[in-house]
Amino acid sequence: MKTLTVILLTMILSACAVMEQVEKNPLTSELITNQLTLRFIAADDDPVERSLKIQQVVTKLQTRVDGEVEFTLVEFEQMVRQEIDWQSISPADQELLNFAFTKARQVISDLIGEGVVEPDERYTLVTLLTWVNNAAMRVR
Amino acid sequence: MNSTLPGGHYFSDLVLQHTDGGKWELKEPLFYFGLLNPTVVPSGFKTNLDSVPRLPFIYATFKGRAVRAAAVHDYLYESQRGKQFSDQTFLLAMKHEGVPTRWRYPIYWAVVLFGNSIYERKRS
Repeated sequence: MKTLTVILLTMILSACAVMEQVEKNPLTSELITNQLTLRFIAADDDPVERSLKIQQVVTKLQTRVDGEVEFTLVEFEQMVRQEIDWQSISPADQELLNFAFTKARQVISDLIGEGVVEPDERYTLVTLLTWVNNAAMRVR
Repeated sequence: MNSTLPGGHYFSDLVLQHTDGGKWELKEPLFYFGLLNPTVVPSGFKTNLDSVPRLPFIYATFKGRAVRAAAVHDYLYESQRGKQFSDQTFLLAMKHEGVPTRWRYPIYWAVVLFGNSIYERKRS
């Protein structure tokens, strides 16, 4: 598990680095998002169930992003965190998700700034959510 | 009859069940993380690992040595991901499964040289 965590953290750091180039090199960013999502799914005793949960969360978040209610990046991060059933995942996975969310928010913040996420900036969030969903959908 | 092979660093566990038709059915999805874009073989996928030609010496050396890699290869053939890509992924997967060089290259060249008909058969 330690090895897996180290690998995951390393990959997340790499992913954060390349996320800065989402617009320049979307294929690489998408591939790394696939890796992260699938590794998180594979770490569960029941990968199919975890995959379905991820898809449900993504659908819910996409609805919020597509909606007309304004939100800030901080509020979006809170939305994501509230969707996680923290009690049901292992401490290692909790640590991993905490780290991932924090880093992801920093990187996205660098891309589109803090404050209210404008409609034309929401595509960044939609793109990432779509990648996560597409990866999760491969697990059945 | 169920069979579980621990996954390790590059693979998830391989959980197989023997079916009446003589094939093996995956009871859990099989993840292979040897590539930037991982391969996921879905649960329910049935295989008799027949994408590896049954040349006697190949089969003898292959049997039990590269089961996860063969399941991935079989799935890539079945889903028609391209023969060259499938074969190269198989070679890498065998390495990641711990198949010694002296075995994996003969097996790899067997699928390269004799796998065309199998790949075409999977197409239909």
